[in-house]
Amino acid sequence: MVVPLALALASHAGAVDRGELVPLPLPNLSTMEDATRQRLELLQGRVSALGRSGSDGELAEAYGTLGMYYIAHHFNDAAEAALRSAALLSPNDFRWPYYLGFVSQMVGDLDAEGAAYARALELRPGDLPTLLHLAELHLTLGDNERAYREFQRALELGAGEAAAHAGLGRAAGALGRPDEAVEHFTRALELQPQATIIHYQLALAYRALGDTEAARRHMEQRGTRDPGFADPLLAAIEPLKRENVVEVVLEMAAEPEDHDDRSVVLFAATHLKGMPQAVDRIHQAIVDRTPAAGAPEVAPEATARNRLIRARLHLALASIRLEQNDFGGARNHVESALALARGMTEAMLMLGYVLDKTGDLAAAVECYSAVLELDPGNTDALRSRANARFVLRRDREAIADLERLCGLGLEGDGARIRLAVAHLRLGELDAAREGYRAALELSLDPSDAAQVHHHLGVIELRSGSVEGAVEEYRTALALDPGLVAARLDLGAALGRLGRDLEAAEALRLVVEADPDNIRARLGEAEALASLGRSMEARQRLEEGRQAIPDSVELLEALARLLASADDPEARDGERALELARLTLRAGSSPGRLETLAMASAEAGSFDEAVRLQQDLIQGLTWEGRLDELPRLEANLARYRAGLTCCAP
Amino acid sequence: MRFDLANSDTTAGRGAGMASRCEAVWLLLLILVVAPCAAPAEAPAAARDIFEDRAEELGVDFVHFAGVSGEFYIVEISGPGCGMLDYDNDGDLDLYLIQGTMLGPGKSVGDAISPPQAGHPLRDRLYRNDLKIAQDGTRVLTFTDVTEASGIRADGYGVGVAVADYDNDGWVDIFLTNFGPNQLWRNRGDGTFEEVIAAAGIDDPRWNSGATFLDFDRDGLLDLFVGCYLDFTFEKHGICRLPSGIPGYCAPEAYGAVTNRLYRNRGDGTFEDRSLKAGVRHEAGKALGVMAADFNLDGWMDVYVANDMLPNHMWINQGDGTFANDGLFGGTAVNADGRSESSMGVDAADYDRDGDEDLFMTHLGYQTNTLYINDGTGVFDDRTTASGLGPPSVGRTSWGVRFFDYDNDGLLDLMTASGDVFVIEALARQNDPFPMRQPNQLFRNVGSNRFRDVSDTAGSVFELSEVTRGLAFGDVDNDGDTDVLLENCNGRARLLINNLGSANHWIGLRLVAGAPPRDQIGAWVGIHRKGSPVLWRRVRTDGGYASANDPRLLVGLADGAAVDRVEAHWPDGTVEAWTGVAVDRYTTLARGTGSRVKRGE
Repeated sequence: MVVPLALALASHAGAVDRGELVPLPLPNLSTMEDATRQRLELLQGRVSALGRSGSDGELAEAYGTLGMYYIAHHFNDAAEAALRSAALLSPNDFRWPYYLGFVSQMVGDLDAEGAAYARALELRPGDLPTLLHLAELHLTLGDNERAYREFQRALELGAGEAAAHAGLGRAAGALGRPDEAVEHFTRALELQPQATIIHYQLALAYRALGDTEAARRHMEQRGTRDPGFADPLLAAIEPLKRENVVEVVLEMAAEPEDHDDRSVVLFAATHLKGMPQAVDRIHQAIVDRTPAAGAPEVAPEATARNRLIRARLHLALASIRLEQNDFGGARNHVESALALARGMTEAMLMLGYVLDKTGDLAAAVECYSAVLELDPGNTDALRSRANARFVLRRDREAIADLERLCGLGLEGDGARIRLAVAHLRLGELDAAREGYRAALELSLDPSDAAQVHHHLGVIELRSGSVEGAVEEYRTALALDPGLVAARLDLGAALGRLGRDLEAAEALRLVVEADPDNIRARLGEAEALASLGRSMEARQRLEEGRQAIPDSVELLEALARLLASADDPEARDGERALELARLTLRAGSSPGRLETLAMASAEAGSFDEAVRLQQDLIQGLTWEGRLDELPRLEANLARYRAGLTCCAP
Repeated sequence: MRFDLANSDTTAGRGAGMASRCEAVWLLLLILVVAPCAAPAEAPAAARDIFEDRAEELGVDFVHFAGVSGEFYIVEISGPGCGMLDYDNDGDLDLYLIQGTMLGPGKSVGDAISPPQAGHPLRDRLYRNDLKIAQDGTRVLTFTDVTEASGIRADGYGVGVAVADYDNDGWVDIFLTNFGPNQLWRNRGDGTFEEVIAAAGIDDPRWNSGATFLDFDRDGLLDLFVGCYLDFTFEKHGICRLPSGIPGYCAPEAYGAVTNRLYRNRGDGTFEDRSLKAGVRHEAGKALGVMAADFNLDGWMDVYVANDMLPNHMWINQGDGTFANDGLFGGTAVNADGRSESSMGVDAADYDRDGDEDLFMTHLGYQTNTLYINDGTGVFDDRTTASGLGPPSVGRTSWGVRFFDYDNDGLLDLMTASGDVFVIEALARQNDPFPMRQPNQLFRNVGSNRFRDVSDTAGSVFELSEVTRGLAFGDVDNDGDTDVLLENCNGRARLLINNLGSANHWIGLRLVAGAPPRDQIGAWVGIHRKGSPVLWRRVRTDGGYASANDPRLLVGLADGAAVDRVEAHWPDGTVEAWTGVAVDRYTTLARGTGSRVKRGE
């Protein structure tokens, strides 16, 4: 409906012919919440009233304010009409053509945008935002020379230099001057390194100059943030958007027939962020609705409704607390909500979430179960319970929930992967494999898909297929080269296959990515030793000792290598003995005793070596570990013969 | 598992029988004129619109149903595409229109804000072209709804269509993307189709969008690339409200990005999912339009994916079964300002006549559409502004798109289909139940790499405001100009008959190989004329937004009636040339009938 509001104005107190004002198309406010709608209706009414009796200045202000509100609420055509009237009534007010320019920009009316910003600039020639908007517009229109001049003027204004330099760079690029573009973009980035979008523009300029290396380097740094500059008029719109959001929440909470509990929570969580005053107002609304002691009784239905509304307001407050990561505060509000409305599933769900977040997963599971008892179809509760049970390693219960989720087609959020992991943890390899394969049918992001392939590799390994495991690990690494765990397992599997060179290479990459990874360091040294590169193995273990001095595993491996390396050059009996003795400080074990025996032999103490080896054989025999005896006895024979360990 | 059925194909016997029939057709087609010399009985009068919507008059009575119930499911504003294909091999283009269904758990059509068309089940529909051309060239064009007889029962929530003869039996097949499981309809060659997606091993229950058939490994079999849009489910749905409480559709940012699929054709009726090995699953996106082309002219087909709000992907074929996304360095992932745009439709063609394929993408209203020109090596420059295509596109949210030469002047023009995704307040005030209507646009290539918006003079169909998504292009009346099928979301389909093009000279080509003859999707064809730039065109059915097009090449020659040579670069890299190819008519060029040319000669 278009109401020719201005035309309807019978008499007025201003100089401008009110008949020339632009008819105001009244937006459809019916789907707005009451508070915002009332605000807009009030402003519309004010325009109407001032149209009859107000001065031009008063009416311009009323139209302009209404236009700003229309902008805030995305009623662009109404905003345009209101602002045009404001500009007619107050032609020297810079604000109205500026906002008109912005509205025209929003609706894509480039001619109107240009005219409006040009008028604004006439009124305020040194206005940086207007100049920058105009320059942008001229770039869009292909008037690159003009855009260049405007950016140049903006630069001369002294403020917003980064934006001006970035604009100059783009204009220079469009004018075929990439070398100059590089200079401007570089300067813009110096001024505002956080304006990461400039990296791409700079990259294109370098590409045009043929410097592909610089181009690629800057493309890798590309982001989405623009160079900023102060724009006070647009900043003034922002608060108008959220002026009534608290009222909206209050209304939604008070209308359970029209808005469910979840909608209240979602809206509060989305729009009340960073509004501390909202908490006070909602809290006051709860207080206002709380019956005073001794208040006259009301009908039970009214009491129940009142309690429900207060409970919903508590939920809104809880959602604000959650946004602030204030789990204690959130829990208080959720518990208040539940005290007011015992069976409120949204509150129980939120309580479960809070408990989940604060580490009380078992209690969270109870909450989710309570929700499911009341509302068996509540898939949020089911999903949350499945995840909590999974984290608690209650795998059988988790599997039941996860299977139900998958059966409902709710396979997102990793349900299939968790299902497979739970099966894997229970040792159910076939079911786990099937679960992972099913997960791969989903659209996983590459890092998730990489993890799935890694786990499939583990399954292959456990099923006895080392080759299959290698293939899965390699697929995982193709998807996510940074997946260290997969590379480590790949190295280990390659070692098992005797592909020592590949194993050593894989494990070297793991060590480089994760210098504290003892398993990788040990594996790499072992692979190098197997390749006959004992000196390198020794060097790696020495490096490992330096990097992780507390590692007994590395100590033991080095001692053993020094006592038993294939390459005599790599052996050092005295040092081996010293290190082997050190390992015993961390406790004795058959392996360490065997190393000590090897070291003793290497150091020439064959009697000691024989004694240690005999004790070891006796102990293992007593433990029933008979399969290790042939090797130990072979070495015992060598020690008795005055030979060191394990010579080729 | 999906590939368990890989060896269960039973096409061998049927294919053998079909071959003999096709060979007969083939003999008729070989270097023969399919359509008589264009002498349209209805010569376009000067005052006639360039394009006229004649859908209803010709028997195309399709009305799309989006299943809108006020729940603001993002699915309901995202489709549909549409298609042109010659399913019965009778030499004229039939029409395929995609239907929606009611959306949302527990919803029935009674909940729809706009009820579906009465008397028609909510299914896709296939319209057979019954074109009759008399001896004197008079054309009688009519369409018959043959959906029931065809056996096609596509009653999912339809999004897009891709067509090609994937099983090389000489009959074009139909692949449908849906919100929900896709469908592959294999053409039996007797006017009926069978649904074979499970047997083919390419089932995908996600929300798929654009798709393209391409022979990425040059083995003579058409593979399939399928785009996937969003990780949306009803479970994840929520109504997004403005701070004022006004409800609306959530932006794509509300839902996760997903990965696309590349299926390799095994040649036995089944496909192998090569997405992972080929590398295309390494990067997620929000794919809408998808198309194949050879951007770096290395003879291997690449794939371009238009992503909504995320950088676009330009998958460059490495020639070894893998692809690398070179969108960023190639300059087509984001616009020249470095911004990701909401790419919907995409098309590629050599609009600047320099022998490589350039790219054009359609976007949201607050962005411009974007034109990227190729330097011949797969490196592109954003030339939107210089082309004149930027400003006219601001304020329109556009989807379907195609480079085509509507006036046969030898320069590729553009048409874009528009319809918003936000409520347009002025329409809402008029109680429009689907207030997102916008007019479509026609841009004429005026030479010197510039375009002019000629929508105002192109006919009353460009004055209509509708929510158009898919556009399909082809010469439905075989009169030597390009007609357009457009499908509106929640509205009537339109068939825009071109009244202008055949006023200029043209050459129509169908590039085929094998017995039975199959369209050589991916072939790169040059029309050589004395004193004029070579006009390069690719044989393709893809492009635009989730739609399928005429595989024939219709190349405008303006007032020049002579073509020296036609050169075809076949998908396997070999080259042949023909001389003496007639103009102002369609000619089928079969592989092996031209002179062999060494590449680069």
